[in-house]
Amino acid sequence: MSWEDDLLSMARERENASEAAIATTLLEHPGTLRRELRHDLARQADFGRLKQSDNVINLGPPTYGGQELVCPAVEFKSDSKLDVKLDLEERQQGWLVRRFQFHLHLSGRRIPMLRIHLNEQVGHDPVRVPRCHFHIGDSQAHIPFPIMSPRLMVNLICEHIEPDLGL
Amino acid sequence: MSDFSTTTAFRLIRRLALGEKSTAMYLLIHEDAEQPVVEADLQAEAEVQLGSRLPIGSVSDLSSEPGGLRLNDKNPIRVLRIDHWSPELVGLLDTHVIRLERSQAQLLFLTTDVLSEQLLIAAPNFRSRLTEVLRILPDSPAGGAPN
Repeated sequence: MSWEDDLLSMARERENASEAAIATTLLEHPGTLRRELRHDLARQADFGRLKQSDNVINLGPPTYGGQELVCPAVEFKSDSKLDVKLDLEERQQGWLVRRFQFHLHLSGRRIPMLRIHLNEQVGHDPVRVPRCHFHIGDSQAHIPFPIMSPRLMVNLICEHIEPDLGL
Repeated sequence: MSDFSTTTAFRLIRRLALGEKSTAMYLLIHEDAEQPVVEADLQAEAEVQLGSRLPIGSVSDLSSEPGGLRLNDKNPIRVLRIDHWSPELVGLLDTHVIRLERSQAQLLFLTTDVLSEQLLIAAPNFRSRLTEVLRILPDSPAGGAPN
């Protein structure tokens, strides 16, 4: 096996583990997930991290076999902003995430932006583009990111990433 | 038609959760056709925010609970529909409002515009003990209205 093949094999293993994690991260019905995320954001506002507790989270029009959830502008006390787009799909075992974008625009930091993405499917070059990855600033480097519930991601962003990144 | 402040199930349950264990009585006015939606919103928000189900019943249930309100230990909030005019029930509410207040419950009386106007005139004691009269709007999952 060549060095390139060896790397590709390891990247595919990583992607298989991510796919398994996505398939076992069952989510609530989008209507309930929307309420849960809204409540999570309200709690973050109670803790003084967000500017307001009435953050708008909308159900988008149904997509093919799925449903979109959009949170256009969560504003932090620090003036950073987060926008979230989730595309969920209903499978036999329940609701799963198909794709997401978490865009964190950091205010007054050396790193102006963090983008965390889950692509709809594994690309043809998993060494370069993991399905779940993040970008620092405008960088085109795709850095692998672990699969987790969108609620946990909101918590991670609000409590750990936004307060600390690029200070 | 009186001009009351508006709320939603999300905001109201949040307010009740923050004031946990303090007595409150709200008269919530909804559009005639929106009762099932408003009840479903209240139920869903209670499950998400409080982790428990809300007992939802008719205000006439109060007349069958002479020893006091039966409340869930985990959740002191109770929703009571006032969905038809009954002088006896209104009299009961007006007479026993202090007993309701002492129950340390958080009571949400759901009713319509027409019934609320009649009730607020016919039950002055009840009115004076209310924490607030609010117009409750259905949640708007697709956006456009307040959360």
